[in-house]
Amino acid sequence: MVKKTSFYVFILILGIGLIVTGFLFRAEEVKNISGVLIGIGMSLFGSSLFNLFMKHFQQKHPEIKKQNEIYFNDERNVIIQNRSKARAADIIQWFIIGLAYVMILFDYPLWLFGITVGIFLLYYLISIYFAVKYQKEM
Amino acid sequence: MLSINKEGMLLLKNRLEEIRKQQGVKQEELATALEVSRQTIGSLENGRYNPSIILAFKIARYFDMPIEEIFIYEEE
Repeated sequence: MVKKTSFYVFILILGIGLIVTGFLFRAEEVKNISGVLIGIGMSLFGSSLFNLFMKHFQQKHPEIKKQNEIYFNDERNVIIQNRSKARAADIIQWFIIGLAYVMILFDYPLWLFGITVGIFLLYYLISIYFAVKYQKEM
Repeated sequence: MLSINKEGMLLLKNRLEEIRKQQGVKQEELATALEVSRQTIGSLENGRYNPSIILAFKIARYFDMPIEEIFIYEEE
């Protein structure tokens, strides 16, 4: 969704800040953290630059902006997107439990198996949370 | 005969295509006026999608007709 320009400018600056910080602290003991900072910074920088370009483009072409808004808010599109996300999440949860069984089969460390099962349970907890939330709201 | 989609949802019959063509309105024009995509209008006309009650009211107001004249609900 297209947000305010100030939001993307903030994300752009944050991205640059993270990249600079990542390059400044490249000592051996913090090498991994530096890599993560550069990675996150690059993705923030890239996405915000893209969104700023999109905003600029849409300002020049209001008819395309209007068309994009209609497409984004179209009730059928919203239903399709929500249904696809829900279906994808359902499929992923079975992949996760499948992964847990593979871990048992190949004698993976118990903590790794625990994390995988934990993610599977987390999915259920999150879905119960949202079901209760929506029951109250609707 | 009622039609039901894969999710077991009852699909309403409607006269949208007939009314739209009678009034000489293009799918694109109707979509723009209702602020929905042209694909949504197409799906409604093909009976593959039930509109929200808000969209149904918007359609009825656009054609200045009662909802029941556009969307037909038949009990078995």
